[in-house]
Amino acid sequence: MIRPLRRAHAVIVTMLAILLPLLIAAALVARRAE
Amino acid sequence: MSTAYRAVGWNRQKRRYDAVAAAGVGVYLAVFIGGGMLVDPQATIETLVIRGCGTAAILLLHIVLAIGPLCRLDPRFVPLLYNRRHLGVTTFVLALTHGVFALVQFHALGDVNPLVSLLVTSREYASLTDFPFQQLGLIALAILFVMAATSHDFWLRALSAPVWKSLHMLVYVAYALVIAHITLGALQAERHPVFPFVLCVGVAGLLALHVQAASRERRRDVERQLQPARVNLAASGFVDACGVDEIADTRAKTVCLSGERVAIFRYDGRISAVSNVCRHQNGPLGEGKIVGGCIVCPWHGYEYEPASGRAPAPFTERLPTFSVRVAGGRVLVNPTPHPPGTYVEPAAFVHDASRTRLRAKRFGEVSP
Repeated sequence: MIRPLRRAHAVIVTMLAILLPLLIAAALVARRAE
Repeated sequence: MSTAYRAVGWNRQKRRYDAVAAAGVGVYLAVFIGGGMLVDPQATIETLVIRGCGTAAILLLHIVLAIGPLCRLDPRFVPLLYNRRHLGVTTFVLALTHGVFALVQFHALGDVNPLVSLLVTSREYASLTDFPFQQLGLIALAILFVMAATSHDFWLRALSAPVWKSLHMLVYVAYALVIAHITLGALQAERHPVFPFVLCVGVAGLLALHVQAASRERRRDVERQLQPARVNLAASGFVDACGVDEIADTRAKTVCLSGERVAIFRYDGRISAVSNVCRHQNGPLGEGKIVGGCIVCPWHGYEYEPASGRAPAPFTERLPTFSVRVAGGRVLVNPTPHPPGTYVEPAAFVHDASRTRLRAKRFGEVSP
C-alpha cells in the first residue's frame, strides 16, 4: 500500500483495537446490570 | 486482466474459488438452519434464516478482513486474495438477506413503512441495553452495498486505485458498526456466555492479525530503509540499495525509499527499479517475478515492462520508475520517482562467475 493509505489503515485499526473492546465490555456490563 | 468490459472475467481459478465459497456458505446455512430446527423447534424458518444469514455474513466478513494480514504474514495465503472481492459481495448478499427478513419479521406488520418503522421505533440512544441497534446494521448494510457495487475493475479504473482503495477502507467502519449491531442487539437478548465469547475471539483474533502484520511490515521497512551511498553519489541523490548478488535472477528486492517501497528487479544481466505498488489493487510487485520480459504481479497477474513501468499494449497501466546505477557490484537507486511510464535505461552488469563478483558495465557505470 502507498504511504498515506498505510497510515490511514494503521490509524483505523488502532482506533478499532481501542474502541471495540471498550464497547463490548460496556455492553456486557450493562447486560449484567440489567 | 482485460481491456473490454465484462461483468466477471471468469477463469478456471475464479470458478473454483467461487465454487468453494458457495459450497461453504451453502453447507453453513444448511447446518445452521437444519440444526436450529432440531435444537429449537419453536423457531420459525424466517427466524432461522435471519440468524443463519446474519452469522454467516459476520463470519465471512471476518474471513475477508483476515485475508489481507494473513497474506502479508505468509505468502501461502495469497491464493485466497485472488478473488476476495467475490467473498465481499457474498457477505453483502448474506447481510441483505438477513436485513430484509428482519425488516419483514419485525417492522412490516404495522401501518407505517417498514423502513420508517425501523428508524423511529426506538430512540434510546443513551441506553446500552435498549439502543436502536438495527439502525447500526442498516448503515453497515449501506456501506457494504457501496463496496459491493464498486467491486469491479470498471470502478477501479474510473475512480483510480488510490480513491478506490480509500473508499474500500470503509469496510472497517462497516465492521465496527456490525460489531456494535451485534453487541447492542443479539448479545443483549441472548444470555448464554458462549455468544460474547465467540464474538470476543473473532474481534481479538482479527485485530491481533492486523497488528502483527503491521508491526512486521514496520520492522521490514526499518530494515529496508537505506542510507546515502558511500561512493560519491550522495550529492546526486542516489542511495545504496543492495548488492546485485542479493537479487535472484528474474526476481526483485524491495527497499524503502523516503517511506515508499521500491521493487528492484534483476533480469537478463540488467537492473530496473519501479514502484512496488501494482496499479490494479496495490499488490506487492516486488514479490512477483519477471516472466516473458514483464514483471507479473503476484496477486492478479497484472504485467509491466520493468524499464518503462508500462503494461504491455493494449493495456494502459503505468508505474513510476526510478533511475538505477550499478557500481562495484552495488545497486544504487535515485529515490525521486519518474512520472509513471517513463522509460529508464536499465543498469547493466556482468557476472564474473569465477570470482563470484559483479561489476558495473556500460549504462550508468560509476567507479567506486
